[in-house]
Amino acid sequence: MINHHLHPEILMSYAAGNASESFSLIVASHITICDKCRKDVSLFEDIGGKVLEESLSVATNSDTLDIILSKLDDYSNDNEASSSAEKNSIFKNIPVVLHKMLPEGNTLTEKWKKGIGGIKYFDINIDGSNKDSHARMLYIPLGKKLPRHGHESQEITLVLEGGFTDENGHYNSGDVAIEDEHNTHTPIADAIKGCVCLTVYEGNLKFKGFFGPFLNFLKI
Amino acid sequence: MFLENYIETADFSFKLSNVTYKQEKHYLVLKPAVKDKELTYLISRIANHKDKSAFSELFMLVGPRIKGYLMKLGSSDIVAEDLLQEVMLIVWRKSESFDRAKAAVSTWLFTIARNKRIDMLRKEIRPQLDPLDPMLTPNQEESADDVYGSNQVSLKITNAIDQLPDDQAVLIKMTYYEDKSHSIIAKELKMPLGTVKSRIRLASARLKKFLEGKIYD
Repeated sequence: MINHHLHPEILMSYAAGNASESFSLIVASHITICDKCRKDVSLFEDIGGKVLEESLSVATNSDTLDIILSKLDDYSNDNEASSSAEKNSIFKNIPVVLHKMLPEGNTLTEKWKKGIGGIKYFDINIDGSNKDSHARMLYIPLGKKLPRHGHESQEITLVLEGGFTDENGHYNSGDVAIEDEHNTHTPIADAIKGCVCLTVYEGNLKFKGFFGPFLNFLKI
Repeated sequence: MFLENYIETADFSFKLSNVTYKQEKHYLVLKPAVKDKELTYLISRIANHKDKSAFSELFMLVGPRIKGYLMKLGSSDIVAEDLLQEVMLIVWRKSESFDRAKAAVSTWLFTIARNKRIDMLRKEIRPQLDPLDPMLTPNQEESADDVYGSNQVSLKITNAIDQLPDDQAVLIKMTYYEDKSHSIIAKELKMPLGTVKSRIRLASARLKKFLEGKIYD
């Protein structure tokens, strides 16, 4: 049961096609698990359909249709990327769209970088034009705290396994936590399973507290 | 749906004004159902029989419109032609995946064009929901009149945008008609990003409620 959903303006920008790469990733991942938000995205795509319908017709080149027809038969399905459900991973609860962004044989122990306090993380390579768009997989061990931090802009976190609690409430698998630029929060992983999550943000994180300057320097 | 008569002369920049919409409503009530049915039939011919003449007919009906849409969002004529070819090839290959119960033909075509356009702009994989993901949660059962793709939806969207306050409507227009991200909108309108987001949040929540039939005017 998902209790924390994405805001409608985020779903709308994904549907319209102008969300950043990292925000698209978290929306696509969340709506795999959340049928409520998926339904909202369809609704916002209907508006896009309407915009398409209302567009002015522009005459195509005289040979466009012939070119397309000539390509129909040599278009085989072989070059279709195979669904990465076949990919091996120790994670069971990773949507395919996210799984594709992780390296082959990705495991917690081998490929992720170590942060302080047993925290591990893996930066997803968002190879886009938007250098300010970041996506990071994060593992917080049982009962551990992520240092209190704020954000230059919005940060969205999707829980994939386990859960965490911060100043705003408790988040289970499938839930998203949305932090705006004026907030700071201190996520604490659940005591039983810890927490694996995907975090996306634009701009930089700003760590607070005694270790803040040090963490900002390291940018864990 | 895909109205041929009035749209050629209508200036799209006035689309969100009350006057234009009032005029369109007349047509929207009368014509869309036939067209959407026709397009759906052509797509089913392609899906079930790999029918090239149905494909050609579909191209004639929607190709120029898709090209116009791509150019409206900033593609040059040459780029729009390339993208249109790719879009139509996807239509050919993925016609089986079109689900009348889930979306109108125009919505389906929009999502294909949107994705192709983004692929080209960013030259990378843009994360998109995988409809075959085994993790995909099932959709809630929907009542018959709740199903998307009926011609009611088209009319509802027109009404929904129509009822937004001007300051919200302009943001929706920039999102869909000009393909602008929140931060670009904020820069262009010289508004704080937070204000843009909260206004679009209000507008999108309102549109959503309206389209779900929770607001009646």
